Amino acid sequence: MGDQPTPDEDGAPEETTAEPQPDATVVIQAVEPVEETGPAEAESPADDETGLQADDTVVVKDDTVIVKDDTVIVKDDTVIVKDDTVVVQDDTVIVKDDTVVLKDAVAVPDDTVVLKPVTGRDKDDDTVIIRLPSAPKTGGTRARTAGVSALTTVRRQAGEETVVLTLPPAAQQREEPAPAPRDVYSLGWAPWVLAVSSLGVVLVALAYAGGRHEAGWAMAAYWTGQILVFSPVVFRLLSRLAGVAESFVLVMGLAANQYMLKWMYSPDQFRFPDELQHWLATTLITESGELFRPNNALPPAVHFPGLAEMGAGVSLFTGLPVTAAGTIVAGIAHLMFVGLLFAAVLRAGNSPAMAGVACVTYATAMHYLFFNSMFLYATAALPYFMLTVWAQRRWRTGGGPTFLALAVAGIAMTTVSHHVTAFALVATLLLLAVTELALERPRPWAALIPPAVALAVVCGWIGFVARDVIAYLRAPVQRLAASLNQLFGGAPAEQVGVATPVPLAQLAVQGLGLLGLLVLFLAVARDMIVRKDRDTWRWAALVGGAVFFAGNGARFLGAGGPEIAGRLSTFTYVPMSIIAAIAIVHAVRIIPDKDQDGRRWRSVPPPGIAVTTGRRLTNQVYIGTTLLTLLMVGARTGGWPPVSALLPGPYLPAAYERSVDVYGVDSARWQAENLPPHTRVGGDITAVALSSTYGRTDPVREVGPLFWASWWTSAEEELARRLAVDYLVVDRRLGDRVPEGNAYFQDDPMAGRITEPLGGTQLGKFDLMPQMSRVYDNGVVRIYRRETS
Amino acid sequence: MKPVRAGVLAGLTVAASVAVEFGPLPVSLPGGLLLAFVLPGFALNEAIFRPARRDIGVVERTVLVPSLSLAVLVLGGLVLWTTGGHLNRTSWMLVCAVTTLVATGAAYYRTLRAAPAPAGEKSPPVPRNTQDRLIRDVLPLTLAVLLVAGAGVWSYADSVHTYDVPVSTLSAQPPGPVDADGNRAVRMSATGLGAGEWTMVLSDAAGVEVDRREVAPDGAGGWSGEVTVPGDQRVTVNLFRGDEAAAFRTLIISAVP
Repeated sequence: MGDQPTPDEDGAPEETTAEPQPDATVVIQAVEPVEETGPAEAESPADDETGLQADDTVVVKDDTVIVKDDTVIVKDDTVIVKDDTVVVQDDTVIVKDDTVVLKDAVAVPDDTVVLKPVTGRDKDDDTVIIRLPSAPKTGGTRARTAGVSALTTVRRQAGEETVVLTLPPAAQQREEPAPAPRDVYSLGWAPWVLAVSSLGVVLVALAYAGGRHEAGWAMAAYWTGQILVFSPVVFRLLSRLAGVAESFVLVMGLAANQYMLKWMYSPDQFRFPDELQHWLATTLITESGELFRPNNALPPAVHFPGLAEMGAGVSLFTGLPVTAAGTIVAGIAHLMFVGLLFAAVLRAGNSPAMAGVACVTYATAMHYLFFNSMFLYATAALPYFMLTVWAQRRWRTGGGPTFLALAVAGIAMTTVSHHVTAFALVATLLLLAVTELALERPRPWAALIPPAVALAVVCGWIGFVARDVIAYLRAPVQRLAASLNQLFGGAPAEQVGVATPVPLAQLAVQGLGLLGLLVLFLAVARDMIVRKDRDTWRWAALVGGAVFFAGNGARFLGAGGPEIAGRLSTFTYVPMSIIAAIAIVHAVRIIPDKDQDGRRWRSVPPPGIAVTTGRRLTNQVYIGTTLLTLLMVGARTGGWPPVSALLPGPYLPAAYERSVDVYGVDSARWQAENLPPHTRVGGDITAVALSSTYGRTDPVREVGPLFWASWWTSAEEELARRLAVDYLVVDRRLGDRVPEGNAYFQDDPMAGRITEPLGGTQLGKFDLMPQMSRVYDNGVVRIYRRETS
Repeated sequence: MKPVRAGVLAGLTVAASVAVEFGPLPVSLPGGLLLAFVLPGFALNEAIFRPARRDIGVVERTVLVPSLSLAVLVLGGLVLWTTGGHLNRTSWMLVCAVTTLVATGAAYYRTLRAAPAPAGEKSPPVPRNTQDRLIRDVLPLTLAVLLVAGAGVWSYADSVHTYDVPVSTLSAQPPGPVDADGNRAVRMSATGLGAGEWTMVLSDAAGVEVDRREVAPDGAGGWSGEVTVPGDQRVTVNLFRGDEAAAFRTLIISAVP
């Protein structure tokens, strides 16, 4: 991917690229053979029409250190030529380094050719040392001869500071002695970087404790810890010095540390309503040994039992409680997803740096840290979404039917785990197939097999098993349609609700991050267009990136817009992360150079990839780290939990995790012990969540009007009768402050318009109703029974 | 798969299965985790990818192990259920264990049938174990694990400690039917009552006291008892702590509708 080679599919990427020390892979794309008529023609657009495939690439593994004077050494035995599809006519490789101007070529005693800068700058001595593959290792005169021979084809392209080297024929390369076995499992600096990152985990743990005890310093510790967890890993990956093993360990270590940040927020129990719903689904399996048992808390989850089966299986196997088993399952699924994303990008791009940067970029997705790591059915489906994409890639690149079978298994797992992820998988596979069909000749119609299978499996599952999901998804689709109608059709705003205004600082951080991503996206898009790129995956990623930006527009579609945008970004941020990784790792020009005609934006980029060295590399690392850190901060402020509840702490009304405390849980457990199953219980968001899970009752969510009314009139009685409410849970603390979200209740009639908390009259009226009995009181939470004749 | 490796894998599978089925938590925990996340996926990896060929890399193999293991758990459970099985510990364990053993056998059989690797084919690289790796890798990784684990344990303890506050409740079961005297019996209970004197006072809608009784919680702070209330009146039940004037907890029993 990117300007990278298609890897050798017969071998593992970590084996093909990791050589002496799997550090600093530099990938150089083979370009069209340079005509003898001059360098200008070599870079002209006409040359791009020669039909040379993007696979005609040369991978140069630069695992040597950048020495103190910013010298880069590219070893000969690390050169791998992949030209199995098109013969590279003269084995020409172009090394482009803007900071280096060829002055001379000197063969040093170890057969290394040194290309010295003309100016011989002291501070920025961006010397590039390239040991030519044909040079024998005996040194001395032969080496010099070989080097000079090779350098007869070295030339500088005017104005572009491009060095063109002719490699020896492939036959000679094959005569080279095999390189000594190398330690491809070197972890490099990953252990120490992760140790530093772990200090951030400790800081966030302190911050959470401070939040629980309302300490003033907690927020500062939180942000320091978040940055300390994230940024060192990003910095190391952006340095492009990490090999496969090191990159993988860094990425997985970061994912584990970030999962710890999520878990430590509420380590003793699930508090988010959706997690509680899946806790119940899992518990039902462990208790009954049956699948598809009704779950009043979340009826559609009944027919997507993937996560619940995982949790139940682990709980039954280990003897752990469902909460602990669910925490482990969610963590493993989270790590699996990140690992599979890394594997997919690594296989597609053969660059550990790009795979690593893609993963850390994805770690800045809005829902990455919480929704995609929670004990929710999407968490179980996401790794299989990624597994299918990876297997599809392996199959399409000659991996054989084994990978098609794995893709089918991934499709099945995704389908039985989560509906929306299954739909996204169909769309993704279709996108990959369509781009392949559009770009490749003859058209590979077999590419349509995975999306066709996925479509059939998803339709079959929904049609025969999970029919209720159609009704479940109808409501959000209708809301989206209403929002679009408001946006483009002029419908009144009341139809779509009112969104809570977002603080300006939060908007600024998120906007800056998005702007940075947009710049990278446009740079890569321009680069691909002017290069006449034919890589199908790169184009698919570009289209996916465009969908990501379009999806961000959904933020403005009414009250549910941010949620829709966030959920959509779970999938569209994958290609966006890959595009960002291409831009960052390959240093795609944000502002391109002018060509000889004075054109800047239509100028064809020089062939090859910049071998970035010295100060330029340093700047890229710092800027890239800053951008990704900014995106991470934006994701934390715009994701979940909301800014007002970033830290755990005392009860807040309608604040999801922050609203679950011992008083609410105790009242729910009382319901489980004393009320018949399927008793209809209403209340605020938290009360309903707890009653329907721990309480095992049938939730009534639309009770907002009963609470907002100052008196219980016939209208309230009629509504209660229509909703068949048996019990109402009233938390007195709803009257202490306005809700943290924009509503106390689901489908709250006052959503977005609440300026004062519920009053004593509204909450106290239940004590005065002759037809109401207060049957439970713990000093904070009260439960009323509606007496019916 | 070499015979020794296959034997170890099969033995580990049997041991994990026994631990899951019969072992106490310290034994069933590692056994269950192995059976759920590792063993089936590892065996399937060995079975489906050609021996002595590097079809997949180490990274891919690593992430496939838990992915395939959980897939066996989920899809195996679905198959078990659709064929009329019951999803309990034993049946699910058998699904995973049998899948692992069959895959191990298949991998071993495939190795026996496989042609020797071409001479020119590279063998997978072998990690180097050097002494400096101990300092370079193990030490900082151990430090990282200790830091994270310590933070996790401490965070857990702090959360439990913060959450775990005593809750005192007073609750009532739905009243029974109206008896011949026009009264109803209501089963009431209280929890979390501390030491001291507790008094329960029943009053009618006009605030007139209709009954009063002492409440003596047990050692755990719990109490339960039955009170009789008039069926045609709305009754308020107040629980007082010591000499406090304000009711500590209050229930309201409405009249028969």
